[in-house]
Amino acid sequence: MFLQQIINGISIGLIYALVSVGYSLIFGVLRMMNMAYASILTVGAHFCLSLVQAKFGFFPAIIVALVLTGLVSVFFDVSMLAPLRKKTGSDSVTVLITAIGFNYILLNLCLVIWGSERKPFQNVFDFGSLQVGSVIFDSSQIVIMATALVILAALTWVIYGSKIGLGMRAVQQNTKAANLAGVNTKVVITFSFFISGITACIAGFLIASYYQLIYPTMGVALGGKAFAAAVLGGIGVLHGSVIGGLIVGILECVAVYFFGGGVRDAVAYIILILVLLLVPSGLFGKSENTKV
Amino acid sequence: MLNVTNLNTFYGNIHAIKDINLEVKQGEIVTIVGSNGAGKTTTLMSICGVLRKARGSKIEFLGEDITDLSPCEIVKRGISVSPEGREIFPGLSVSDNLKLGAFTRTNAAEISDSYERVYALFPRLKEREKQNAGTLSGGEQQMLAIGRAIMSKPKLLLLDEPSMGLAPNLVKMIFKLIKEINGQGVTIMLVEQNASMALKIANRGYILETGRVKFCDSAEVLRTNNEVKKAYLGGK
Amino acid sequence: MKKALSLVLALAIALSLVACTSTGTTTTTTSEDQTTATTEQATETQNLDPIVLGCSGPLTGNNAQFGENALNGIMVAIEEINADGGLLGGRMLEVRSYDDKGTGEEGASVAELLISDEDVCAVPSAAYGSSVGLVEAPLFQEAGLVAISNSASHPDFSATGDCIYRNNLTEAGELQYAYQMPQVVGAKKLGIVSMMSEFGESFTAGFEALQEQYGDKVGFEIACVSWFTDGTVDFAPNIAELINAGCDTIIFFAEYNNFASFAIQYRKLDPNAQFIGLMTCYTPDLVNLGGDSVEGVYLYSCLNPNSTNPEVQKFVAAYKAKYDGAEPDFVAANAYDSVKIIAAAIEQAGSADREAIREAIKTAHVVCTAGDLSFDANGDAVKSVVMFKIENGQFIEVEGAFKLWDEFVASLS
Repeated sequence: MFLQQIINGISIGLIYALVSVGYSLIFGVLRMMNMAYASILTVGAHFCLSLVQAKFGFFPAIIVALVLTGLVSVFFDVSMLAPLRKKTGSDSVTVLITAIGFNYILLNLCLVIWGSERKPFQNVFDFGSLQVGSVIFDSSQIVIMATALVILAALTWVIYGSKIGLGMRAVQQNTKAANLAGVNTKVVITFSFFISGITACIAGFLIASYYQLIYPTMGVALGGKAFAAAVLGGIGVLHGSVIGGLIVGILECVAVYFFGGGVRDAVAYIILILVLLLVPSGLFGKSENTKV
Repeated sequence: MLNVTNLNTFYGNIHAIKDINLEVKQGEIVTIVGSNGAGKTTTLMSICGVLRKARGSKIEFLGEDITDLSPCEIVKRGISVSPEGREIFPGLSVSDNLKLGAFTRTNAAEISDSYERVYALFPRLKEREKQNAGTLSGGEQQMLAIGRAIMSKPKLLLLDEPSMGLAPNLVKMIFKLIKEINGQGVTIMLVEQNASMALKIANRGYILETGRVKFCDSAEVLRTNNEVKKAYLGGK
Repeated sequence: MKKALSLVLALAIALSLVACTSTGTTTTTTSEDQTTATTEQATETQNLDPIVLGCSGPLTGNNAQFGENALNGIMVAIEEINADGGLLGGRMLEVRSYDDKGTGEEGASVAELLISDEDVCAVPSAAYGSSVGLVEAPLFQEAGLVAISNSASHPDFSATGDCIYRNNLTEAGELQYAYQMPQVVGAKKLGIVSMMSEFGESFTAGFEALQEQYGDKVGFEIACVSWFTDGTVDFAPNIAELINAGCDTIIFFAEYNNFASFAIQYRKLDPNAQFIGLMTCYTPDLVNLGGDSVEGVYLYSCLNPNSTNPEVQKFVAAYKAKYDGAEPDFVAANAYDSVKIIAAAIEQAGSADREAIREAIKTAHVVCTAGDLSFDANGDAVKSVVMFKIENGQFIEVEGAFKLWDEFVASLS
């Protein structure tokens, strides 16, 4: 039973990790909390729903949905954040409020276009379940874990192994110097928004197909917990977000084991506050004054 | 090679650069000296595209108008800068810092040549290749900043205060290296507060005062100009 | 380029605002058919004022389906009455419906809107559920506006006063049937899954109290009580708890949408457990959402759409014809009946004044889907209940499953 809750925790934790990496990506590059991320995830899941229903092939549909969601994310940056960055006098609060505003705009558009009710979504990963000792692995749980790990590995490669990733890390460390070194910061920022959008869509798709449900508020609770996980791990640090997500997921399920389902939602935030009291920059966060 | 005509730059309402004209010829070391706030760095940042220029300003490089190009386009055309305060990437390794200098280049073989060249100039960087740049000493960070600028294989290298905050023997060494880089065919524009050192290695110099060019002549003439001596060379 | 973008942005914002107001606040629902009926009538009987009924319900949010079904039930009743020539010698019925989003805050403001609208003479459908219903009830009572809930089951609801009626099972009434369910389906180890809400907590307490009293006589024990909070999507920790306790039957104390999620996740791990749902799970949307995972689920409802009762058949046929073959649920049927009994009260009083309806409804009765409907001294309707099992996506009646409570208790010893 305890072991089972750990397995459940890892599986939900990897979903949190996937979402919280999206927060970290944007925070890393722009030092901003992308509070619109949860809605971008929801829109992504709904794109998957509509495109799969359009019946031009399952995988093509998902790929189109990924690209579209990436574009929504880029649109957000190009149409709202980029003009703000140019204006003198706009600070982090302006940007934060803009993101929260866009979050509600997207949420509302979702309600108008797709309606507020819960809609069924097909589970593409159902191959039965596997029992090892007293622990039951559900096939879709396994697929979700595997997919999340693959995506996280791919993101790690992009950021630490590719040229554009080097550009992203440079922009994160010192935007001005990156600019002077010949890094096209606009391209880097746009790219970051694009892949964070794609990650959001993948997370949305995995969640929708695991729970076989889609609805406009699906991102709300998830976004909150994933954001807590990102801050917990040290926002802006990729592996920190992954570990933060796992910690939140596992402790949440363990808490249910010890204290029952009522405390579950509070767990993420209790851990978050405790950790921040001890390590204000998060578990793997670097304090801001490492710059020379 | 580089022609700057009627350069005017504003910070909000502050008119920082007033009608500056300057020229750099192929193969030269040109220095810009002046006191704090004279507009040296602003001039440099205007040239490399970070700051927006007022209407009427014109910057030409190798015959092409680069006034309104973005920094990365300007780097691609062969101007690179080692900025004031070094501006290295403290959390990245030394070799990643250098790799970023070559960000606009695609030919892998040529890039690895550039690595060799930088490591030959600064053997200390080779030793610390894998180390985070933030852990380097001040002098090493300055080497890294210059090395990074060289990685783009520039035709014109802009150096902003390379001697700032360094011990005298390190300053000497850096200036020796600048001369050496110039000897390898890179034209250099050197911004310095340390005017006596700068005028020693430069062919020509511009002296800025409150955003205007006060004097402009060969380095030799400037070194012997009384007014310059009094104001910038410690009155000797 | 920048201008074009900001234009698009402005448009997007404007659109979402418009969307907000149209789904968020108010719509006066008058169907096309009804408008034509009104005009035809008007030519005969010179501009008689319509009789306006009020409706509060969640048209957006998690329980939107119930709000929509209640409104649909009202529309079917209104059309039927208008087609027969209206009330009081030709006055047509109309409904003003507002979205309370299933929240107490919105519910209170919707109640105020209906109260301050002098045209509204009675409210045949107050907010969905007890939580919001209990917010609205004192407001309606104070204003002297008769309001009927078609879904509240909390004992305090109808006790608010003589304006507040319940056309639904009371909680105590529903518990008597819920408690029979595990016994009927032969449960040994029962798991209770309950939402932490006013309803969930009080229903669980009621169920446990019955078990305390009859536990040694029934064939099942409560092996596990597992709680979740509203908005939960991941039931894995609850399921682990239930499986660990060795439950062979699960009874679920919350709405169909949560139940569907739960069933989908539970079936992946244990395909054999029996599921029992409450009346709020009796809706075709449970099958739409839950698919194969809700096959074999047992549940119960006040409404049996396949009943041979002619009133039920008339209602179900009219409902399906109007809403593209959709099946009505108990909320729709109750709302339909509520309009009917208010109409009877209006005819009986010979007036559509709020005060007149308040007096008349105490003694009014009408033949409708629930049989001969009237309210008792507490303001509660007497309802009968039928048990169903989901087979091939259909709700199939399990005949003779339920006993009257006294008979059930007697059968135990």
